Amino acid sequence: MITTSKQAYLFFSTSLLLLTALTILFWGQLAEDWKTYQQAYLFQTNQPGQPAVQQIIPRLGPDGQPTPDASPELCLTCHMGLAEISPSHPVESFGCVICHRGTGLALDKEQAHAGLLPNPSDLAVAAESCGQDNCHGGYADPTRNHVDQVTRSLQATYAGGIAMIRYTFGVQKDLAASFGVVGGVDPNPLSDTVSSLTAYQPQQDALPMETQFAQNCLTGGCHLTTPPIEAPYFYRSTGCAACHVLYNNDGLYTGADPTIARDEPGHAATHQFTTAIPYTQCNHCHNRGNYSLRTMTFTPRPDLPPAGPPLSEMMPTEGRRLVEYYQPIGQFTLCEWELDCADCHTQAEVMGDGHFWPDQKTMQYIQCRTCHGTLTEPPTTVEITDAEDPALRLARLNDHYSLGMGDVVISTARGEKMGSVQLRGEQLVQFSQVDGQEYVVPPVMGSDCQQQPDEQESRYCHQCHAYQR
Amino acid sequence: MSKNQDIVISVMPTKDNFENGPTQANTLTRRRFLIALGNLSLLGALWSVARGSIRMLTPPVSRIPSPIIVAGPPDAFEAGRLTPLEQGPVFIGRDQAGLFALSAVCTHLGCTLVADDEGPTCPCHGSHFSTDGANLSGPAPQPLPHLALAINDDGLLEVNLSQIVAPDLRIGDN
Amino acid sequence: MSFPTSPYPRKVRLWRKNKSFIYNLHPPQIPASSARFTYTFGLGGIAVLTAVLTTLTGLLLMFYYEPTLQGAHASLVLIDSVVYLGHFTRALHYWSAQVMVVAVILHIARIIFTAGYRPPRDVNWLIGLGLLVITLMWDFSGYVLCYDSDTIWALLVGTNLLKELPGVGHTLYLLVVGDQALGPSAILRFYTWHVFGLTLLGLGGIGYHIWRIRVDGGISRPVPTSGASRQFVPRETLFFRELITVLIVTGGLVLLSTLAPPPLGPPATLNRVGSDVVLAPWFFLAIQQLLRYVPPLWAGWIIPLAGLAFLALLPLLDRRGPGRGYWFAPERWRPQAAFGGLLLVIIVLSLLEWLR
Repeated sequence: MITTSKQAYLFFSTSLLLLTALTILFWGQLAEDWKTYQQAYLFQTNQPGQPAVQQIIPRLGPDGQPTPDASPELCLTCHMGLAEISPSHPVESFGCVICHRGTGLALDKEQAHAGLLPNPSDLAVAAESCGQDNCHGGYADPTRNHVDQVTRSLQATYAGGIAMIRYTFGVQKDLAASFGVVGGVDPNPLSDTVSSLTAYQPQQDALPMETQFAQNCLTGGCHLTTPPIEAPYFYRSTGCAACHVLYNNDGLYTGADPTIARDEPGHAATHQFTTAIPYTQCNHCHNRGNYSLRTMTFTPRPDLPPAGPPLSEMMPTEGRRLVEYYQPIGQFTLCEWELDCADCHTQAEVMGDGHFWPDQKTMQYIQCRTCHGTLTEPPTTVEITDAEDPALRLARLNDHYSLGMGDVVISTARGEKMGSVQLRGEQLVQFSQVDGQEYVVPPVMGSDCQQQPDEQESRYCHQCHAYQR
Repeated sequence: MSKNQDIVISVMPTKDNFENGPTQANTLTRRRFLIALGNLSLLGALWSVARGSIRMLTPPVSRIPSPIIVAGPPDAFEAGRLTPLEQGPVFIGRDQAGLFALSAVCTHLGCTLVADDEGPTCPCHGSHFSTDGANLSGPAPQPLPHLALAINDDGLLEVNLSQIVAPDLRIGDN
Repeated sequence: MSFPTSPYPRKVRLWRKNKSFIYNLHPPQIPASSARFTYTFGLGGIAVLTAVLTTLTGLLLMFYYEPTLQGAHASLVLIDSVVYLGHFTRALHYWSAQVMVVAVILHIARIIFTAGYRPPRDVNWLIGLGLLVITLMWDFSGYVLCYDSDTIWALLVGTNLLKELPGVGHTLYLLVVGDQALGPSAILRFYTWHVFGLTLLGLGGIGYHIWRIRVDGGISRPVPTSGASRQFVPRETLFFRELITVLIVTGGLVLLSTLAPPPLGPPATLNRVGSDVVLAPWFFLAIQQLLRYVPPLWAGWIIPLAGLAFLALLPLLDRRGPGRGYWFAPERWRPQAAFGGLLLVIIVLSLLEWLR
């Protein structure tokens, strides 16, 4: 068939073309992205082995129900080394897709991340991920529907702040809260909560300061639904993760996932939830500076980055807590320094209780006497008698204190149980939720305290007990 | 063999050679009659097979799920915009008189509409509708129908995708 | 060639050239004017080659693709991501199918510009138009089997167009879709047509089409003038030229599939439109543009079928006269201009839709 050299050359060159095309194909097979990531991880952790596809077939499906035919999820092939999000969400049961969505079967980055919710706890999407039925939503008992509660909490609605600004500028005639960053209706308001809030969207004909307020303060900066200021001490997430996923002050990732850059600020410290939330996490929004109503801007405090010295020049850890905790404009007692915010501020205060509270003053109710009592009354305590008590569940979620049936704990004025403040023998002991350290709670009754019976707010305690900086 | 002696399967009798010489073309012989009957039977068999096949391929049951979809709590739908639903091609709108459900299926060729600021538009062939369903421009021949809306026993809004109601019907929040 | 002189051959032959199947499908020799590359450009052969490649890659894909509502897109993601060379097989299947459609259209253009439809080849011309329809149906059904958010609208609009036909529209819709609306039956039916029904018709049609070429006297060529010497090309040369074409086209398709794999959008949902831009498959873009301005029965049925009918009637309108066997023969300017105009209109309409 091939009789001339011209034919032979033609045959040779076209076969070579086919062979070259196939070579390019097979060569591309060797260097796939997921293999590169896995090799990086195996190298970093000194593990032998060849890259292989990692799959998880989750036991639970949508709405938290066991499902027999879930499809495999290959996320951990690239994200090998990513920490399990929490012991309550074991990855063998949940997988990744049930919260994060995305395309679990894909190994190509764009395909896999199609439909992905990088932060499934962001309040815009939390109802479909964290708030699924049988997870953190859909219960008849409203105290278990955390997504609903957080969405209506003051940290999400900012109802009091909005009312205050509008009242100050004469747009509304009193301090009644009627707007929130997110709106909604509460069918069962309490006597001092609001039955509905309207989503705050200043119209075209509003005062310039209203639109400026909405733009500068409510769409960026410090708010549960907005992204943070991109600067040291401000890095955080949004939604549930704003509190429950810890960020380092420099915003750098310190986990083992090879796909996340170690030098890019703006990542969580590790891919983990925690209920042991230290003050540094709260301080990614709180105690960061002051607003000026005149210019509608925020001025960061001058003694910490970014306005102050850089993180590398900050003083060593021992004195840091005193400086970092509160702004240098206030004076607080020793326990307000030594404890973390979550040790006193209750779940209803921080996460909301499903009602639209009009402002912080009305909502925040924890007082010194809740644990310390008054001159005439000891603090109110209650015994854990119900095996289904939420306080027991909360104690199981936190590694730093334990609670059992029959233990006696503090009960607040609104009936919340503070499981980390327990009666041990005759003494009341507080366990820090962040590191488990025990603090004996000195009672006021029987001490030399000279308080007036009707002056129980913390500012009165500060008059004598304030810790000098 | 000459052409005239080929075995011909045809309905019309043709010239053929018999022992007594060729027969005229339009004479009905026994042979021709039997051949014609045989052809008709074969045609009948083919026809019944064809009809049977078409009937076999016509679907006997429908696997389309129920047309009733649950939209959610009534207060989740705010006034002034058409909220598209995830569970089905329908918009929930609210005006002063109450809630209504507008079909999001384009009346041209059935694409699902996109809720724009001025009203639903169709990305397939460019039909534009107003916020109450009137077909403003493009190839859509009819306005969008309003679908039956009701509050079910759990207090949630329910849409019946297969039931059309008058365009001025509204329901309250409870 | 050596003939074995004893019943036991002295050397082992891997391939008996004179007795091989494909070799003997070719005529022993064909006129040189038919065999010139610049006459046919091998387009018919490229169409057959791409049909074979599509069938073979399609067979491999059938081991993983699931024609169910939940499984369709998920199995394609599996093929793309995890199955070894899965993305390549799917890419090659896609590209050889698109090249097949292009080759078929160019092949039809070549026939028109060289009057290859003149009798006795007019029946084969009709068979070829039938193969065009089958090829387009193949491409369309394969396109919608991706079942992603970009292609689901093509399925919806295409099947809803069936309902526009007067009288038989609803019955035809039930037969094609298998239910009152799109659902699991639609995927299964389109899959069955794509994988088996159209393959039976297509491969059978291709076989008949090629056989008729030989019955009708081979590839069309100029009417031989008396006295001029007639040159022939043996089938060995023909086979060699085909081999080179196979190597080049396959190599090019492999390269294309490796470097430009087809995308896969997010899973289809009829409840929400994923993006504001919805485009028909590229070969139906002109119809999408027409549907914006012209009623559906006309844009989707009457106008395309009129175009097809015009092509089918060409052998009747252009039966005799000079010009057979030459490209762009000036005596035949009317059918060439008409076809060129038709092609130009289709291209312009398609570009208008694509550039929106």
